[in-house]
Amino acid sequence: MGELDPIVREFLAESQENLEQVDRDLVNLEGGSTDQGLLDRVFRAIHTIKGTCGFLGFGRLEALSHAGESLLGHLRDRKRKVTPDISAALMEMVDALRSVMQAIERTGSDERPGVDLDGLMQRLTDLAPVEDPGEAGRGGGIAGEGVGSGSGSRSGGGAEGKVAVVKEGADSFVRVDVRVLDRLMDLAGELVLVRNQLVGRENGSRERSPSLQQLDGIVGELQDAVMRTRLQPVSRIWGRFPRLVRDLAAACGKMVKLQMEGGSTELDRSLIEAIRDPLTHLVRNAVDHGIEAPDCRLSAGKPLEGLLWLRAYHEAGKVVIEVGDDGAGIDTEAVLERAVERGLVSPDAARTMGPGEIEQLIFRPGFTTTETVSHLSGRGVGLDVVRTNIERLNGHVEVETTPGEGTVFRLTIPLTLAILQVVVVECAGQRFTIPQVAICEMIRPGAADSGPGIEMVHGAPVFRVRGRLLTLVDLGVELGLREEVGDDGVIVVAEADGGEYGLIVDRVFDTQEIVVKPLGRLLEHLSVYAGATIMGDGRVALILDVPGLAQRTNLSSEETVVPVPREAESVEEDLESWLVFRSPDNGRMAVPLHQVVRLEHLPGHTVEHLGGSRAIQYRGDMLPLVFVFDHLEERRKVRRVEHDGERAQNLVVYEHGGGTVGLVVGRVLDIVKQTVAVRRPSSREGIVECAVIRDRLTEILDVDWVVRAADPPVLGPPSHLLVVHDEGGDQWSS
Amino acid sequence: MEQLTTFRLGSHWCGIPLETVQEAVVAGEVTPVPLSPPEVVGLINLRGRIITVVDLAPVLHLETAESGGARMQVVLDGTWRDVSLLVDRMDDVITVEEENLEPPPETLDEGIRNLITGAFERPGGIVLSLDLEQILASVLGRDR
Repeated sequence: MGELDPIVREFLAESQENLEQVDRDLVNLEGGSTDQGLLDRVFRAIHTIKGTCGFLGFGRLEALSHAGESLLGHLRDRKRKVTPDISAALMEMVDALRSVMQAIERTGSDERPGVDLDGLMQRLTDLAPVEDPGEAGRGGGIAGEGVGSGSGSRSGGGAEGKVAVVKEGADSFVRVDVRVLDRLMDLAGELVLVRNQLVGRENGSRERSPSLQQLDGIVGELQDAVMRTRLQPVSRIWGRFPRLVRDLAAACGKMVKLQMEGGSTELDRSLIEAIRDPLTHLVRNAVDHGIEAPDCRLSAGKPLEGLLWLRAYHEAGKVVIEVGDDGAGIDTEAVLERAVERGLVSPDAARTMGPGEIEQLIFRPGFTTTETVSHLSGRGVGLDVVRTNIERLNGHVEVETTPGEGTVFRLTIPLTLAILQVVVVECAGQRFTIPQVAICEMIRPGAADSGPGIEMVHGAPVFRVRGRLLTLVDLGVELGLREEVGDDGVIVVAEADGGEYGLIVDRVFDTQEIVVKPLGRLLEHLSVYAGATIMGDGRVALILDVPGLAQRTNLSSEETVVPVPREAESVEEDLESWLVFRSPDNGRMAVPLHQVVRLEHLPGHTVEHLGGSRAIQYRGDMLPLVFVFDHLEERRKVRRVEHDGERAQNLVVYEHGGGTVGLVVGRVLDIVKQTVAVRRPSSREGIVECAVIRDRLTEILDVDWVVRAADPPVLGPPSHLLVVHDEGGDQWSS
Repeated sequence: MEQLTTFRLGSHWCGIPLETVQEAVVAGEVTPVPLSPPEVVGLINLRGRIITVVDLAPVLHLETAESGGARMQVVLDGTWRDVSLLVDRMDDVITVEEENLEPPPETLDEGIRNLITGAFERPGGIVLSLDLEQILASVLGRDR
C-alpha cells in the first residue's frame, strides 16, 4: 500500500483533534449547557470536515458529515432543541466519522468504512424535520469542485464566512517533524555538556569570565526553549475522557460528573503518549469501581451524581496528575482479604500491615477486588500495569483513600525523559549513577545505631532494617568488579517491582541532574543499564537500571519471602544455618537451611488431593506437601485456638530424598547462622534434638520422621530414608 | 579504486575503507562497562556524544605490541557511528585497486579469516582489509 498523500494525512490529524473537541462539546450540550458558542464550534468543526472531504474526494465521509451538519444547523438556528436522541445520534456520527477516517488511514479510501453509514444518516436526517434545500445544494457543489486549490474549497464551502474562524491564528503555528525536535533536543543537551566542561575548567580561576557567564545563561535558556517545543498540554489525552466517562457511566448505570482542571499543564510529547493508557485505566477504574451506584449513594447520603475529577499541575519540577472520585473509597479489609486469598501476602504479614502498605497491594499483579470480571475494566490488566508503565517513565503512583469519601490516584512524572535526577555513587573504583526516583533510603551499616550490620545468610548478605530482612546485592560483585562483598560501604535501598532490596556501594556522592544518553548498538542489550551520561568532568558514567539489576539478581520478590541461593555453600565449618519457624505450641522450631530450596506462600497455589495426600503444582512438577503440624497432633491440641488463628501458610520447599518436598509450617521467624554450642537429644516424637539458637531453646525438626509419617506417595518408596542432614549434593545421584 | 585508512595493530597493518572513518582521536579516558562483551573497552565522550570503544586486538586474536604508548581511536561513521576502534597507531591513507585484493595470508588464524576481506601488497608489508560488519557482528554476538 502506498503512502498517504500528505494533505490527506494532515486532514486526518487535524480532524482527529477537532473531533475530540466535538466530543467534549457534545457531552456538555447533552448535560444541558445552552452555550451558543458550543453549538457554533461543533457546527464549524463538522462543516470543515465536510468541506475538506469534498475537496479530497471522500464522498461517503462527506455525505455523513453533511447529514450531521444539517441537523446541527437546525440546532444552531434554534429550530430544534438538543434532546438525548439527538446528542446520541451526533455522538454516533462522531464515532462513525472516526471509523471512516481510520479506514482512510488504512486503505487510502472511504469506500469500506466498516460501519453502517446509511442507517445513521437516515436517523440524522429524520431528526432534522425540515429538509433545507440550500444545505443539500451546497454539499453537492463542493463535491463537484473536485481536487483543486485547498483554500478554494475550504472557504468556498463556508458561504457564510464563519468558517474562517477555525483557521484563526493558524499563521502563528507551524507543523514540525518530531524528529527535527528530537535532534534539536540532542544538540541542546550537547551544548549543556560543553558548557559544563567550560565551567569546570574555569572553576580554578577566581572570577568567571563575562562571556562564559553569558554562554551559561544562553545555554540554559536554549535548553528550556527546545524542551518547550516538545511540550504538549495534558488536555490532549483528556480530550476523549468526557465521552469515555459518559459511555462508561451509562454502561454501568451510574451518574458521573467529570471535572477537569489544569488541562493546559504541559509535558513532553513522549510522556503524553506514555501516560495515555495508564490514565485511561484509572478513569475506567474510578467509574467502574470507585463511584457507587445511585441507590448506594442515596443511602449513604451523597449526591446521586458521583464526581470524578482530573487535575494536573506542576510541582517541584514535575508534573502531578490526579485522578480522584468521591466514591466509596478502597475497602482496605476487602483488599487484605483478597490479597491473602490470592496468596499475595501471608496472613501473618497481613496482620502487621499498615493502611499504606495495604493500599500498595492493589498494585500487585493479579490483584482485583471485584468478584465478577466486568466488561469495562476487568480485562486482566490491573493497576500493576499502571504502576509499571509509570515507573518506566521514572515516575511513581500514589493512592490516597478515605472509606466512604473517595479515592485519589496521584501520578508524579518528570517533565521530560531526557533529563534525570540521579545519585552518583562509587563502587569498586568506578562511578555509577542511580535514578533518584528508584531510591527509598540510604543506610550506612557501620553506623553505631544501625544494629548488627551486614549479616551473611548462607553466603548471601542480608541486613536487618526496622524488623525486616532486606536482601542485599553488592553492586561490585553483581557487575563482576570484585569477588567479595564490600565491607565498609553504604546500602542504597532501591525499589523494584514493588519490592525493596539493598544495593551495596562503596561511597555515595551527591545528587545531580544529568542528560540521559542511550548506550550504543553494541551495548544496548545490557539491561542493567538505563543509559549513560557525561559528568561535569567530561567523563562518561553509566546509569544503572534498578529493575533490570533486580531482575538479573532474581530479586523480584513477588512470592519469595527470603530468597535462599542454593549454590552458596556454608563458609565456615562450625557455623550452621537454620530456618527458624514457630512450633505448634508457640515455641521455636528449626530445619537446616542448606536443604531449603525456597520459601513460598502456600495460598498462591492450588492444593490438589492425591489419594490420602496433598500436593501442589510447582515449577512444572508435582510437589508433595507435608503439613508438619498435622503430625505433631498431641502438641497441637494444647493451643488449638492459636494454631487455627495462625494457619500454617508458609511453604518450605525442602530437598529430601533425591527430590523435593513441601513442608507446610507456621510463621517463619528467622534465618540464623551461628555456631550451635549447646544441643541435646530430644525424646519427643518428630524432634531430632534441642539446640540453643540465638539464645532461645529451639527444637530441630526431624524432617525424615515427619516425611515418613506423612508418607507422600509421590515421593517414591525408600528413597526418603536417605539422611537429610548430609551436606553437598552428590549423594542424590545414587 | 578504493582508499583505505591504515593503522598498526600488533605486528600487522590493517585497513578499513576511508568513508567508514569519521576521525581519529588520541585515546583518552575510557569508562569501562561491566558485563559488556570482552572486546568492548568502554565508553568515551566525543564532544558530547557517547562512543563505544572496541579493542580490535582481541577480536582478531592479535597481540598488541605497543601497549605502552598512547593508542589511537578510529571513530567510525555511518551505521556504526557510535563505535570507535582502538588501534596501536595510525598510518597513511592508501589507494588500492580492487583487483589487487589477494586472499588472506595462509599464516592467519582460521577463526579470523572471515573477519578479513583480503590483503593488499604494498612496500613494507601487506595490509589486511578488515570486514567491519563481520567484526562488529562478532562482538555483538558474544557476551560475558
